Amino acid sequence: MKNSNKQISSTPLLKVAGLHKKFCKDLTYNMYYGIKDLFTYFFGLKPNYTSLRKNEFWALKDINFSIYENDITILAGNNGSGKTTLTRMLAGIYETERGTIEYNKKIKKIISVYAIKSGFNPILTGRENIYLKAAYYGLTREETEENMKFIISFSDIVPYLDTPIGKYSSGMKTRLAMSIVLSIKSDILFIDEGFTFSDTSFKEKCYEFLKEEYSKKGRALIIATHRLTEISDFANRLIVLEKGKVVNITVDVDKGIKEYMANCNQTNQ
Amino acid sequence: MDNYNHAFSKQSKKFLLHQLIKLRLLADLKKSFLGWLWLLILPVFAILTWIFMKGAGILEPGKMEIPYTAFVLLSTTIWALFFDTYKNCSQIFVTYGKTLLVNKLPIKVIVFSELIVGAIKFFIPFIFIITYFLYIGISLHPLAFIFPIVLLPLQLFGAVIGLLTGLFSAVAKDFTFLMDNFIKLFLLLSPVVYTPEVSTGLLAKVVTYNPLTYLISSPRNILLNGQLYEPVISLLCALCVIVLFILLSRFFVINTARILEREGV
Repeated sequence: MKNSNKQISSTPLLKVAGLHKKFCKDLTYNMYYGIKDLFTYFFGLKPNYTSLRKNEFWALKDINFSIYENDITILAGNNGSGKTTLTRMLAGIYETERGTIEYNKKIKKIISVYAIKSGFNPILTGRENIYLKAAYYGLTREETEENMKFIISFSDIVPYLDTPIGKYSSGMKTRLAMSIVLSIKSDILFIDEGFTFSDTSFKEKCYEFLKEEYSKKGRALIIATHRLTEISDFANRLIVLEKGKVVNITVDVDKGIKEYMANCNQTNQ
Repeated sequence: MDNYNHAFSKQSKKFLLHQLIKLRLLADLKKSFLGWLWLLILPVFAILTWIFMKGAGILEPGKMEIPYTAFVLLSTTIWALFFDTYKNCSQIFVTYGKTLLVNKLPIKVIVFSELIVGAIKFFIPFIFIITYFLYIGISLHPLAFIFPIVLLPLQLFGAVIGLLTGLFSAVAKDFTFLMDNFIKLFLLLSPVVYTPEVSTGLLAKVVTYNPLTYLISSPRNILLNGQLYEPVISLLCALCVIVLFILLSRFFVINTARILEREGV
């Protein structure tokens, strides 16, 4: 699966500049600030986003990078480095209070995938859950029905399609969820640890599909993962986060991963 | 380069709304042997309770145009619409918190789906009650067809209190405990099991200044005698509730992301 022809485009799809995010680490203070901020918003004012209050910390600090057409980017970093917070901000789930996130005007659809199996309802069947998940991703009924054939064949769950999803194994749920995501033609796709519990052959099938769809057709894929070597072959950009800061951005993915691993080993020692 | 608009298309919103309503209704149906029958059984339980209390001489409901049991049945069903809407709206972050943290969903659609689910769950027993009324010889006023419009402010009031409680409860649970008990207390302080005229002393004052008096009594009166209860105050209450709902639902939509990230489900 080695990608010997990693192309770098010059058309940016996404530009992040001066992005910050702060959270509170103490539950009581979190409640206090939450109420205080709600009242501030209620009166049309904005809380202070530039400095930290007691027990707050920067989850992301001064993040700057761009993602270009045909980029397959690995977002690497230890637990708590800010990968999920960053992808949630890019997907618009978290509010951008300080800094900017700009997208190319041609972007029509962004899909973000976190905790891949979440959103399924255990009492609904596989088929009913396909409709539900597709609706969560902003698809129409017609689009969902158009994608149905692909989803069923890619996930390979035909015999269980009308069984409540609560009876599925973790791997089956992952397969179905990932098939729904892959059936959607998104301009940018964020995946945060999406392949947990899926078997090697399905993972390979997904990687092959992602490589085909996102490295040639003017789209972009950003994968936040700890399994760097699994996708290093076809990724063309690496962003390393450490304690909420970007510590490395490189197009030499192999070298970047080696440095990152060496750094991790050094820290562990 | 531009800010990406995460908005769903009109068709996507419609599809999502349909899926959410189906999910909420099916979840109740599939997890119960009796399913939707509960919507018919609960009013019957309510009426039996009130017949028992009336028989025991506990209640002196005041002058009314229809048998007391019928009055209570109708009133508690109307109250249930208010209470269920309050509860569902206040629980939005509990019901959808995890989903909202992994999907950028239009929160307006979720609020709207809660209102529709509340309305469906109201109208099923309501139709049952109207059939019962006609059976026992209680006739409805010709203006009864505007009942849903007169009832709407009550549901929106439930949504207003629910959304406000939901926002603050997502930060600190104290607000849920406080409001749940407060609303239960208001069942007794509102003319649900008695008419507004029966109240005396301090209760009379509470009933006079309680907006629920007008929001509950007006739709009930429209059904039975075709008149609003205290028309000017009722209309004023309805207007205030609609304005509050518009403002608060907007505030809720704007602050959903901020609440979610703080809650960190």
